[in-house]
Amino acid sequence: MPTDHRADTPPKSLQSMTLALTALGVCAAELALTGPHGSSATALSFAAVLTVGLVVAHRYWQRCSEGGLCARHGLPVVAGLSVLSAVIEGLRWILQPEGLPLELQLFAGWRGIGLLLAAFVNRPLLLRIAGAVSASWVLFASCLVEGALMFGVLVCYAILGSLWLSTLYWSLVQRDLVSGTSGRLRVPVVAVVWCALVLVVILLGAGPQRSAMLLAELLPTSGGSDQYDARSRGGVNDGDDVVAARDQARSAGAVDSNIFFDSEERSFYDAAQDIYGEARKPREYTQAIAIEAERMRHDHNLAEQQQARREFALTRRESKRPRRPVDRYSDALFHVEGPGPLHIRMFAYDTCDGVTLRESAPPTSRPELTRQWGGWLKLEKIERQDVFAGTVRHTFRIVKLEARQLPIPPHPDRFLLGRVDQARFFRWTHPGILGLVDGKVPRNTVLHTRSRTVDEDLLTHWKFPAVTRYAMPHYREVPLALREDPRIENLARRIVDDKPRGWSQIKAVEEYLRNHYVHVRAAKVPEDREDPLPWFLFDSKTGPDYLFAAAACVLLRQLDYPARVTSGFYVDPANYDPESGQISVCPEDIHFWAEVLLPGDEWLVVEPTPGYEKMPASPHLIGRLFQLAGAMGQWMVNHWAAVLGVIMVAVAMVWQRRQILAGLYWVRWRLTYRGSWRQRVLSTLRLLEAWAGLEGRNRPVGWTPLRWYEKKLRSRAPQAATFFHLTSLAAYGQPTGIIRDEAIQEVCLAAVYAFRAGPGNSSQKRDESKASPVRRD
Amino acid sequence: MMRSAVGKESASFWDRIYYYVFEADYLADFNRYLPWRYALGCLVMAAAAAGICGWLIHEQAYVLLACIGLAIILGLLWPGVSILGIRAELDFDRQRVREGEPVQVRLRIQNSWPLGIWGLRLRGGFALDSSSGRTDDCSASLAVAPGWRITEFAWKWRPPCRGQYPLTIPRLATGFPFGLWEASRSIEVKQRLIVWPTTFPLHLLPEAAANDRTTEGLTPVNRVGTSGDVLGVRPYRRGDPLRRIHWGQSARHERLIICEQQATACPRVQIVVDLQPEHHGGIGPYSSREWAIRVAASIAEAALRHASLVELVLPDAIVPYDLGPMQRGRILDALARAAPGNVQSLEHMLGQRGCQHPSGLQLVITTFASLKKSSEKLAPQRGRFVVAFAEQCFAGKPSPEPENGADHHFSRLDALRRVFRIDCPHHVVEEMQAIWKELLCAD
Repeated sequence: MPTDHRADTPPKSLQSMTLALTALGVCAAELALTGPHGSSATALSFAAVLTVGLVVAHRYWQRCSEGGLCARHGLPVVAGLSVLSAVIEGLRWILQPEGLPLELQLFAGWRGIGLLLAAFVNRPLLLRIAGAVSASWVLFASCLVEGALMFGVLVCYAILGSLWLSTLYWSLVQRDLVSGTSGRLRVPVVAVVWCALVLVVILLGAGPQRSAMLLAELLPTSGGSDQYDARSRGGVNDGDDVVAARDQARSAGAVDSNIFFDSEERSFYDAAQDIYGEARKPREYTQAIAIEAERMRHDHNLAEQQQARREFALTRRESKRPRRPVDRYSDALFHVEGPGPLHIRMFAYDTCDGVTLRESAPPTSRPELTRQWGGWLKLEKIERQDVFAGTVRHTFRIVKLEARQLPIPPHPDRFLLGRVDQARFFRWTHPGILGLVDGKVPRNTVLHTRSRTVDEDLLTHWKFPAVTRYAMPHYREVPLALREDPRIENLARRIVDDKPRGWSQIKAVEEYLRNHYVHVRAAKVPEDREDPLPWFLFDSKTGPDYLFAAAACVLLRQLDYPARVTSGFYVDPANYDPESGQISVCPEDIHFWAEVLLPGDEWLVVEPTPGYEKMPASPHLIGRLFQLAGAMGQWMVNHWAAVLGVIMVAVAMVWQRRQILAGLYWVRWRLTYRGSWRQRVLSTLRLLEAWAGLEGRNRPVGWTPLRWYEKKLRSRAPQAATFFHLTSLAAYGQPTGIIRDEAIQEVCLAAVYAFRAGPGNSSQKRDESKASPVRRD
Repeated sequence: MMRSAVGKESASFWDRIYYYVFEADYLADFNRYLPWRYALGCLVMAAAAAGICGWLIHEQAYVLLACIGLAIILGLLWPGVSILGIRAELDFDRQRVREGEPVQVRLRIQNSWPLGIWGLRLRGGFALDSSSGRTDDCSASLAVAPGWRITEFAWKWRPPCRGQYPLTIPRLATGFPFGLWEASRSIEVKQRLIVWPTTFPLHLLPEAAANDRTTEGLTPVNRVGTSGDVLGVRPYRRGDPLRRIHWGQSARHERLIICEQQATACPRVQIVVDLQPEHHGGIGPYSSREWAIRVAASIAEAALRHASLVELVLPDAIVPYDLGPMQRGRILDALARAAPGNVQSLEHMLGQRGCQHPSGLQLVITTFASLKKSSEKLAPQRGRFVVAFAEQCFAGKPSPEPENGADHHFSRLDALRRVFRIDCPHHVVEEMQAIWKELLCAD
């Protein structure tokens, strides 16, 4: 069905809807022009001013059209103001270096032209153009601005746009409506709004970011151009290469242009030293001599001793280096966008002699990475266990990490590191920890990851196979010193008690440590104790997180589970910055935890330290919906009084909807009862039609008001006869005498009271025969 | 052509600018291929723009893409699903009616879905009034057919032109909610409506209709004959038949005396209507073809009113001689059903046996274009008269000069060929009534 440009003047409801659509578009445009750092209140206020101006211009043009004026009076104004708007924006561009970027200048001009065209929505063609123009504003603005406010504008625009489309179609249908049928749109409005609300609830539950990225699963955002512009915002147009995009995790700086230099920043171990103190060598090791690796015979079990790999001592003392106060934001190692909490692995320690943790040897095998569309690299696994729930996405913006390892969450599925899309650049730095082959992860690199989350319910029912089939022996080896201490074995047996083998036992160990021990970061093993773990487990019952991790590892190995200690960073949701929408990870976020090995080289995080949490399972969409429903139900139960009150108010409003609507119509009539006597009579007629419509006595299409009154309403309001005769005069005739305003008022009020009183009620009646609206001289 | 506000030559500069920018159709031949001429095309373009912005710039644009996609899916699925639950029947309150007379149309819709169906439009089957300027074939719209109900809609409709309605199988269509695509379903027609052509009064009956004296009828004719009651006697005149000589009176008066008799005659009128579309001018209800049918109907009614035997010869049908109200119904039905397609030529019609030497009055209604081609078959003959329409006048062209040079304002009769002329599309009734008056006196 082609668009019918030759339709008559569009109905007033459609014109009003178009103006409302334009107003929403203006709100979106102003939010985009103001930018993420500007004031939303100012933007919306300016949008309100523009909207009022639009309505005034539209009313004025409508009066002009009714008075017989044509395009010759409107077009010069439109053309002139458009040119003026373009000139002003051009001058601003030249004179104001801190003004808007070029694309926003053009957008501001386009907004001005669209506003001017929208004033003429009483023309069918321009009405459609106004709708399309407002959609283009919203589209452009949605690409520039994010946040709850913009999302709200998008949702409102989607709902109103649907209604506008529907009403536009209805205006064509209405031309041929068979008399006797109603032209009003009642139930469809409710249905459309209801469907839209359901959609909003689903989207809010899913999350705007998630729902938006659901459609762009494999496609990263892009941004930046090659031109320098000091007015650039947020990486849309590149500013200073390093500075402009440093604070945003989402900005994608070009990898090629990053500068490699010797880091003066502290390494991970420097930071660990600051946090945990310096290592204290046990007395019996003070005279140890480092043996050169080449002199050692290669022994698989002693592989960790062949190379000068790092160690982490469980016995430490206070650091003598003064710790300078750090600003969290400026000292961030990297920024994270995405859900937390999160454990980011940096080092894994597979052996412990009771005093020192020794780092794992890097695996000799290369990671199986397959290149996907868009540069993503997918980690292929030979064997995947059915213990995972949905996936989560994160974005990491590397600032000062200075490490070879990639900050990837546990159980990665795929990742995207800038433009590095070749598998040969990556290797395992530790079992299950991915890193670069050469060099460190460059600064200002953005890393996107998608990783799976563990479903503990599935894990609980999952059968652990015989451990000897998949785990290396050193993952099950308890240090000799601890093996000879029966207390540790007894403790382990006591913790698991009669629980079945599997995740239940592992969970029991985790819970025991969390509930029975206290985390004190500054706690140190006394200098006279050389057995940090027994001291922690049986004497002090307080300690830093590395003792928790080591203790958990030892207990799990005692129960014949392959376990290790891992260190890295803990992404704490408490550090979430709502303004930037990201979590900054600083050196203080260094953390130790334990991990258990599953078949398929999956290391499960075991978090024994109280105050630290694991990433919850991310449910699939159906699960999310159920969760949302459950959360809503719980919220309603918690706020039962408010909910009950709202329900009662809603029921009362529905039950009394007619009365409420009648009151609103009356208010509207009071506000519009002004102007010439014709306007006041017609305004009163609209009120009476609205009231009659509530009773199901709509004026049939093609009937004059007088005919309608005589056929349908006379019995209901006999006192309104004079008023309805007056409507004929107001709509079609020319008065032959002088119209007295007081008489018009009396007649209108008499009709209003007659309708409000209803048939048969003994209400105040006015003698209409005395009020003659026309005085003949 | 500029529209009303700028139709005058003195339209202002800005009016012309507005017309050329906003109203002029530069791609009229390609309109059907332009996506922005359709609501669905506009939405698809908007979705594509949103998709591209989401891909290249910011994923938030995908939210807009999802909303537009949802609107498209809803706009395509809802009409299709809605129309599946609809059954409709159409009938009229009468079987026959005249052009322009109101008739009540009844449409019964059965909705099997629980939800109401909105925005139903009746398409096809009913000719639109040409003055409305509409190009779509929608003749009525229905606001809502409530769910799980049989709803009856009734409205008054004035047929603009004769015919058998519905002209085509009507369909009930809906494009609700957004009008992106219309799903339709055919309507079962319980009873068709025959719209007779309008007629105008023609008084009396031409004498030539009673040329055939062999059949007695009901119409008294002011002419002596050879049968019936004795009217009187008179002296013999040369040429009188001998068997009418009254020998007794002749002997008494010693000269030949003839008896005169008079009986009621039965006039015969044969109406031949040429409906070849290529020989007629104009379109719609006011073309020369439709006027020819109306003239034929008026003549038939006038003749039947005077108890004449009337025969109607159409290119695709012949209604044989008969009289009475039944014959009137048959003739008007045949005229109402006259098909617009390729039909027999006038030459072929006049070559049929019944049309070659008619008894009584033969009226041929045709056009000048057809007259030129059939001049041999239309040789002047007693009782044959031709009413010819100047088809070019009905097509909006200036009237050509009469061939015989006669001033057609005074006499429309081409005395030689017995051809009457109608060339004013706005005064056909008056011209035909004037022609009828002349016919009354013709031999």
